[in-house]
Amino acid sequence: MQGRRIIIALEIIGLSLVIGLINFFFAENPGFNTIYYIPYIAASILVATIYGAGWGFLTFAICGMVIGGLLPASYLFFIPDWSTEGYWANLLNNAYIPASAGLLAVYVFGVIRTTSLSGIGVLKRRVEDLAKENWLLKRKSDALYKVNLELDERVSRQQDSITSLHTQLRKLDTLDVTQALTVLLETVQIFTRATKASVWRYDEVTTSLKLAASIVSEEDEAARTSLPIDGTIEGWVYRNDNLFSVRMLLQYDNLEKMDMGRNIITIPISFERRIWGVLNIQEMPFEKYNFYSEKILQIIVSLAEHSLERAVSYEAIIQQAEVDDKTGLPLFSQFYRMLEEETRVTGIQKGSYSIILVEFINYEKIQTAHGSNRAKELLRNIVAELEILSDRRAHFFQYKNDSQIALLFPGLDFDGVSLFSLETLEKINTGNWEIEGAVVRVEAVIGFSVFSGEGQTADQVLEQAENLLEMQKV
Amino acid sequence: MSDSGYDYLKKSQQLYVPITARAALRAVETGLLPNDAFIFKANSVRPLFEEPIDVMSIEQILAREDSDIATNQLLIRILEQLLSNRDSETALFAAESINAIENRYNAKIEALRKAYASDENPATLKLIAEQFYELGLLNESRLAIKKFYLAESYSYMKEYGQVAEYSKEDIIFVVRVMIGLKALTPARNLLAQALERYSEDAEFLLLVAEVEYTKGNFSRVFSLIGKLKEKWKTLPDNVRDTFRHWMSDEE
Repeated sequence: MQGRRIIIALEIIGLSLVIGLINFFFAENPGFNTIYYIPYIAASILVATIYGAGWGFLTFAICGMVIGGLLPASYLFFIPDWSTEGYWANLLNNAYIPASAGLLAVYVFGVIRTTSLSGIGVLKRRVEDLAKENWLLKRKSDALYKVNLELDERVSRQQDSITSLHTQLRKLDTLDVTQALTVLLETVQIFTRATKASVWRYDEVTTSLKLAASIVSEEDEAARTSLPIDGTIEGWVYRNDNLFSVRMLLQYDNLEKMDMGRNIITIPISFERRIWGVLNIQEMPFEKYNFYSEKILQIIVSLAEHSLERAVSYEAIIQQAEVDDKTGLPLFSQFYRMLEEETRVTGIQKGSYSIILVEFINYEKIQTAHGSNRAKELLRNIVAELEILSDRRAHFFQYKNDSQIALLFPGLDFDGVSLFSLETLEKINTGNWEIEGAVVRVEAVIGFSVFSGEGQTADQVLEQAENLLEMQKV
Repeated sequence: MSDSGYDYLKKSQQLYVPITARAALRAVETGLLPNDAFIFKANSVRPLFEEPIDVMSIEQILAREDSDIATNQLLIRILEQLLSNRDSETALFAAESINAIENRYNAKIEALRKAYASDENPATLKLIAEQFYELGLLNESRLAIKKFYLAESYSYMKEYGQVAEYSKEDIIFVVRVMIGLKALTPARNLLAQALERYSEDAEFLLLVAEVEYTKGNFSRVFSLIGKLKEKWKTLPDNVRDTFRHWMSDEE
């Protein structure tokens, strides 16, 4: 700051001297008084405009010194016959008005400069504040984005979420016991990170527990497939309908005697208070063995029980020998047995179910053109699509002819079956069906009926659907 | 419906559709989209593992080169599932992605090996061992490959142990590698030495308990976890929960 002041002062002195030097060559016009001292006054105003009123007044004073002191001294020194007589009086006489006007102008321009500078200062500070604010906002936004990224990753990484449990439970809803148990174990694996787990079901013939499904690691030796009901922890869980957790070994001597290092958590699986089997966790990470895992396993088993029960009941009715070897669909006899059972159960529960009969009216043509095996393969593909359409809630059967299939849809009332029938027709008629790459057009008609209690028999339900099917053909 | 977010949703089809939350944020910053676009995008995340698998989300996570091991493990698990996808393009994408993740690790290992060759800094050996350990974890479903990588990790840690002294964290890491290799007896021996040195440290006690648990020696687990009671005041909450669970302690 001090250095800057010195520089300004030197600049002012330099400027005044330059004007004075020019003025020196006009000795007859000292101080440029004939043109009202304009060069000196202009210099003062210029300095006031650039550096402020104070510096302007200083310039004014220095210019005065140059005119009043330096110039006459120079004339005396360089011009031999020059005299100071009347010099200052002449200057003063001509200076009143220009000097007053000059001082006023220096002041006014100085004030204008100060005002404009303070205005610029305000704007500058505002811009600085805004820039700082913007920078802070940018930092905040970047930080928030990083937080969001982290949260995003945490959500993405979630494997044991409630939505994942829901997805798994929907997958469980299949009528195939083996598939349902596989999904159950898969769910257990997702939620507990178990590396070895198995499901054992009670076999009444051998009165032992038989291995129904398992997940084992690659290095596992040949696992046991049968366990006695006595003397094993699985048997103890089955007999007592009680959860076993490895920490119980410390509390119960009988369990410690039975322990073969094969059980970490063992949970009974029961349907309608009847125990069906057990789920055993043989290997899971140490950090996952906690109260939460025990609870979540119980929840998974509890939620899976309904689907498992359905699959087991279906398995009891459907015997593997009575299926079409090409389509894999259970035959009419199975359908009828299932229908009778569903009528009995739904009657007790005061619920409803629907049956849908689908006949492929150009099936014979397809069979003639592509052969029986290919035609049945096509039928199997159509059934697979319809299974997805029904959300795997419908049971599919071969009906009386090769060209007919039957669907038994538990819990579906009249509105539901009407809509599903329309969707089925749309799916069949608009689907891209192919046999060995050749497009095949499939035409189908549908008949359906709804069981809604009121003393209806299985035959009556079937008859209604058949009647509707016949009417469609006309 | 007073929330402006619903207005955005209603007219979102006529506006620029950002694919990622970052793109939405940039669009909001430039004034192209309202704030609600970012809020909506950032809150619409769902678990990657949820079916049907969203391949685009997988691609986004895959594009981040600095993902941690947990994320990479999850990605590999999902990608392995996609390998058997009926759509051949998806299956191919899965195979290429698995390859890409493994290549990232291999590239890091190569760079670290070169660095070690030039500066012979023992700390680099640890970093290489860590990368091999993570590669082993990624190959959880392929036991032979997993064991190979874990063995590599162990050999680098062994080399490190010859030139520097193991810290507490190093011992824990080596034990983790040994548990992965199912080398439980050497792990127990190493921990026994560590317990002498660190005088019954709770973290080591838990690790010994884990080794015994993996061996199926549950009575030993009880006695080890029982010892934690003596250090109750210094135990973190999660260890206290473990103690309570094993000891069926309801207090």
